[in-house]
Amino acid sequence: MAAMGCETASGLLSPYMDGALEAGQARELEGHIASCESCGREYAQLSAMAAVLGGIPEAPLSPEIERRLKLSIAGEAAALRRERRRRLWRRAGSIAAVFAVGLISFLVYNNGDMGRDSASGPAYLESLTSGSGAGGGYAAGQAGEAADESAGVAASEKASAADSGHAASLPADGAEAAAAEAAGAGTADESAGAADSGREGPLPEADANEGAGMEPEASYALSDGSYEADGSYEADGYTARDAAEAPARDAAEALAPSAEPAAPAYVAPRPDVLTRQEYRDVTRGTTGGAQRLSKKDVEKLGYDSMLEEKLEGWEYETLSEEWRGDDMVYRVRLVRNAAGVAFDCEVEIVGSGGSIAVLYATEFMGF
Amino acid sequence: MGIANESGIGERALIERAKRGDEGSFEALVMSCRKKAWNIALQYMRDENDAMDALQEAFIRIFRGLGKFKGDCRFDTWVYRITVNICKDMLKKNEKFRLHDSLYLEGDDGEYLRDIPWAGPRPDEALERKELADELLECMRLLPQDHREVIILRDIQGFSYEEISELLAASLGTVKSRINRARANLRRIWLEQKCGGGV
Repeated sequence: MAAMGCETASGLLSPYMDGALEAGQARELEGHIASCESCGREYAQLSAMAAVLGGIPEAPLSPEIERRLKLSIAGEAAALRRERRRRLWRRAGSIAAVFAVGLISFLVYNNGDMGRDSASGPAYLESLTSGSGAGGGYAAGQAGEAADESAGVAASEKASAADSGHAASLPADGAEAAAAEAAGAGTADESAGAADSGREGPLPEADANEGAGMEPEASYALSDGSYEADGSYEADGYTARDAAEAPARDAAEALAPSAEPAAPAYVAPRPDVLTRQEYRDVTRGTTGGAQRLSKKDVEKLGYDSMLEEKLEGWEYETLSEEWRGDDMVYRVRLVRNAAGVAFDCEVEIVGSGGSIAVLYATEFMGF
Repeated sequence: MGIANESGIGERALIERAKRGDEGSFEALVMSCRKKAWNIALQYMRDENDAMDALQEAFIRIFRGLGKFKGDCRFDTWVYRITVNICKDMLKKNEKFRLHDSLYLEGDDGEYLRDIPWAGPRPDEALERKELADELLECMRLLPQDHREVIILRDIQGFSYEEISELLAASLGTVKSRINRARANLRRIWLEQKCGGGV
């Protein structure tokens, strides 16, 4: 076996001092140190250095330092409690806002909507038929009219819908859509979604197809109609009083008693078709208070909350936030994670479809 | 072996309580490691005020980040790791090379290391070691940051190679070779300062 050279020995002195060499290697090194003056001197100096440095006594933690540490932790604990409360309220606020919009939409949609329940619909239609003595067409027309009613259809279209032929054609769309809508309008979210989609979807249909086969979307948050005995819609001079008196006017309005305008304080000033802006104004007004939340406002609140939760413990800076279509995109600069590891890089956090995802993150970030 | 407070509640339970914002539990958790953390900060920052700032920042970071502590290392190792990182960040931000730092006090004969009691069988031996320590600490200022920190962690604070590897998030091999080079470098600087270059 070749003897160990000085260069090799020099590289092993440090781990040898720390007991990190294998036994065989350590013995070889010891042999070299014993026989080489230069390496022996180097080993002695390194050992002395390590011994002196290791002997430096620990500085005590003074009472002042202890006190400052305690104060900063107490302050941090208080700040954390405040943060948590704020987050809780923000989440509660966004949930409450979504729920409020959905609930009101749901209540308004279901106002005067007794026949629309999928389970009781057929039975109700049956009772209408037998109660009124009218033909099936009339009862079907009523169901269709009721559907149209909650859709806030124009008076002129209602007048034409009084035509038995037209009325007969309505139920095919109205009752079907009504049943489907009732089935789908179970949750506040769905109602809110329907309400929301109503702003974008059915309204255009209403605009395009006034009075014809209106889909009774829950999004239409107004207008108790006033029905004449023959099922026609009384448009002229419709007022809140009319709405209140509606049950007395028509036997077929058995749906009316339980369709009292329970939720919305809003009353249609006129039976015109609402423009989209008017609809927005109305729904915003029914949410009450100063909070006028659009669908995207509510969604953003939710995504804000999810982002905070995702980045809990991180030190970060939000560089920008914008809507790209239906996605909420945040550009975030990550400074440091909870463990104190510095990153200093940008990521994109995208809120879409009710969840968020972090883009351009590395595996070390722990997302 | 884990941290337990006077009533024998284990480390896990203390961590859970501290995560919920219980300051008392947090204090119990850090009780055993804050002195060492303080000394690490002191050695890194070479200034008592800076070290205090670093330690405060570290403890706040630890308190806030408790939820992220996965238990894949010892709690005190995690504390020291954060302390080291905070110190390094602060040093990087400040980028100041202190000619005089508060570890040294002004004396009639110039500066000398702050009067921390030295252990030693004889007073003259203790004094000799103290003087040598002063020299070495002075020389350490001339080392690059990564060499200085391994000397602090290994020789002054006494962490093992494995612990240093965890603290610095570096491989064991890197730690071994870095310590080797750091000591060799420190020796060279010390000899140059002492003897004018002769080894």
